[in-house]
Amino acid sequence: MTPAEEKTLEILSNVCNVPREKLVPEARLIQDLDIDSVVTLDLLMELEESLEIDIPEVKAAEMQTVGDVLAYVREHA
Amino acid sequence: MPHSTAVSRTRDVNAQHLEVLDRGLSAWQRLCPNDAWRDPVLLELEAYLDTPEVQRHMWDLEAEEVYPRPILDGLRERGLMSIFAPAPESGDARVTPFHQCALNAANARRNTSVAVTISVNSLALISAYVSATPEQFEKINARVQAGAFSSLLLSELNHGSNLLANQCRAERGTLDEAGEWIPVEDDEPCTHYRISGEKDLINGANEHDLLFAFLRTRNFEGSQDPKAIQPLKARADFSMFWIERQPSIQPLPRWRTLPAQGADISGLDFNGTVVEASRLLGREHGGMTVAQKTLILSRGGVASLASGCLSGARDMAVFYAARRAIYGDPIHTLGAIADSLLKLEVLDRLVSAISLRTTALINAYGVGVSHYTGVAKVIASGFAEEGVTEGKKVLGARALLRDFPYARYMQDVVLYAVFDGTTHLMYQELSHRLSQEARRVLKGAASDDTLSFMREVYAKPVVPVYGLLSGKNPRVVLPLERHLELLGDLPGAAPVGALSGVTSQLFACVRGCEDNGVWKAEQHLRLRAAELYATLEALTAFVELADVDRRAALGLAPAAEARALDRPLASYAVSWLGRRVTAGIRELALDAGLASGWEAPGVPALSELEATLAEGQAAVRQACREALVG
Repeated sequence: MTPAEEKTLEILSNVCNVPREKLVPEARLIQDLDIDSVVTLDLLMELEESLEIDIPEVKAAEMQTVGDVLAYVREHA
Repeated sequence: MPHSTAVSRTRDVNAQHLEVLDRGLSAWQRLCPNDAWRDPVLLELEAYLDTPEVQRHMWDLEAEEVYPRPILDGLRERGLMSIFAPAPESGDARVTPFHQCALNAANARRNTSVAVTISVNSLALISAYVSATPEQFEKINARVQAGAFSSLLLSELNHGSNLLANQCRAERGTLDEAGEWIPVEDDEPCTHYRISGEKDLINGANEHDLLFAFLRTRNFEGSQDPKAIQPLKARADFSMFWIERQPSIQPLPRWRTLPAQGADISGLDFNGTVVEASRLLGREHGGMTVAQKTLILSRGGVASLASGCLSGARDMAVFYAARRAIYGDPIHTLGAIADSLLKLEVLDRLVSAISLRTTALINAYGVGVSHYTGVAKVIASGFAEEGVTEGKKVLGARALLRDFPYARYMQDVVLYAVFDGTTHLMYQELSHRLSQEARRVLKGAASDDTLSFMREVYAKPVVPVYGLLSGKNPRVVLPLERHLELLGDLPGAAPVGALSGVTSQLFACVRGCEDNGVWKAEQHLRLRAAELYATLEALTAFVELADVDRRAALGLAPAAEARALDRPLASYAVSWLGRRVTAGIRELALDAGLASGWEAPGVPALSELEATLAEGQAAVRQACREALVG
């Protein structure tokens, strides 16, 4: 796992208030992590700030699982 | 009595009352960590609103529920718009969060309709500050400099706070040879959008010229069921636009409102309005982020409005209690009246302090301080309502007479709880952060030097608001428990250290609620816990800015116009509201069914903390009363 992916899991854990061990790639962001619209903004801002990447809303809309987030970060960070 | 006679009577009573009312500095001005409020234009605007003729005119317009256009024109002539857009002579020196909040507080102290009609400019223009290109920004600024007022078109009548369910749409298209709009596919170039649908409950919808609109640009079908909306997906269905008023935009009837009766709260019907693609602000489908960042910032402004409203109510209650002598002496010598006045003084400073602290944080960290702007909006509006109610106890029946000015504060103060996010919505957000913080403490990440952090925040020069929004900002949430511990170690009489223990016990209670499952199951418990958390944040702001000794220890200049009441009042405030929080935690634990032993180990028990907070309070109360009467 790259440092950027590690950082992504740390941010997901903090922002979504979920233990790291629950952040498996197949975990669903809404159904399993309880992400709502407020948490979404926190999450996107935190990822963009910490990893110095840009996440357009249309790309964020395609992310369904933790694995999708990691894949995006892997490609852009 | 005919209506015109009633208005005349209102004017006579107000004139008699207002002309003898020496307002002096407000709590917001006294406690401000810098001199922004002394800006000559701000002072001139205040002086204009305080002239007897303008006072009478404002109250007459309000009584007749008329939009205060002549007052606004008078303010424009005195430089009002230089607070919203760079002006030729002053540049952007006044387009700062401090100047805009100072204006909000000063206006709301005098007249809510005027205040909210002006403050919506800050709100709407934030969306431009967040997302406009330099070319768009230049054009918008030119219109604002010329005097155009702005409105933010977020709300739709059927969808309330659920922005993701909004239906007012902007469809992509282009113009044919005859100049008629024709639709294009998502992957085809778009030169124009066609807007259809209604926006409602909009401040300034009928009167203001620059319209910043949050519109659906994707998934026009299939988004009707709120239960089916997926927040991550749906947030990419909206875009933000700036639009000039034009014939195809029909105004909807004005609502008659309980608060701010002169304000233009109305709606707009877009009937196939065609606008150029250059009217899109920010990225296509990126409107939700723009809207959320706009609200993050504007919530700090709501706190300044609530602060001004409460200061206006406090002015009248203090004035009245010092002159009303129905039992021989002024009624402020009566114990119960003095108690209400003390609480009013605490709440006035508390609401001002939370507004000022949040403004300072915005000035330093922009949208990274969403936690603090949410706290400020919800707790400032709640405590402002409580303060106005305390004042009602002082004025008695006078507070209920519409011919007497206090009644205006009674009806107006309730407005702020619904501005830019309802109280429930705010506490829901805050409960999520509370849960994060309760766990962060367990992880042992609470060793930051928060005092140095806040010293830097307060010392930071005042900067233009748009400079704060264009880049990325780190998310800021100070470890509250640690910060209160450090504040408690500073010199000062108020028992601030005990508040750190109270915070530890609140976090322990939250963890207990999470562990036994009620946290997830019971929204009302989460929201009550969030309110306690917000109260502790508010007290933190109070201690930093209104506790004479700790303010000095944070490197701030003394509050303007020092008063004998300032020093004992800090102890009174920490004791009174600190014990309100301990009682709330105890009740929460009982309602959550927590087993005994839930309290945090290694810190004093709730009962010990209560005793510490109560210690010496009889003497403090007496000192406060003497200072109050003196």
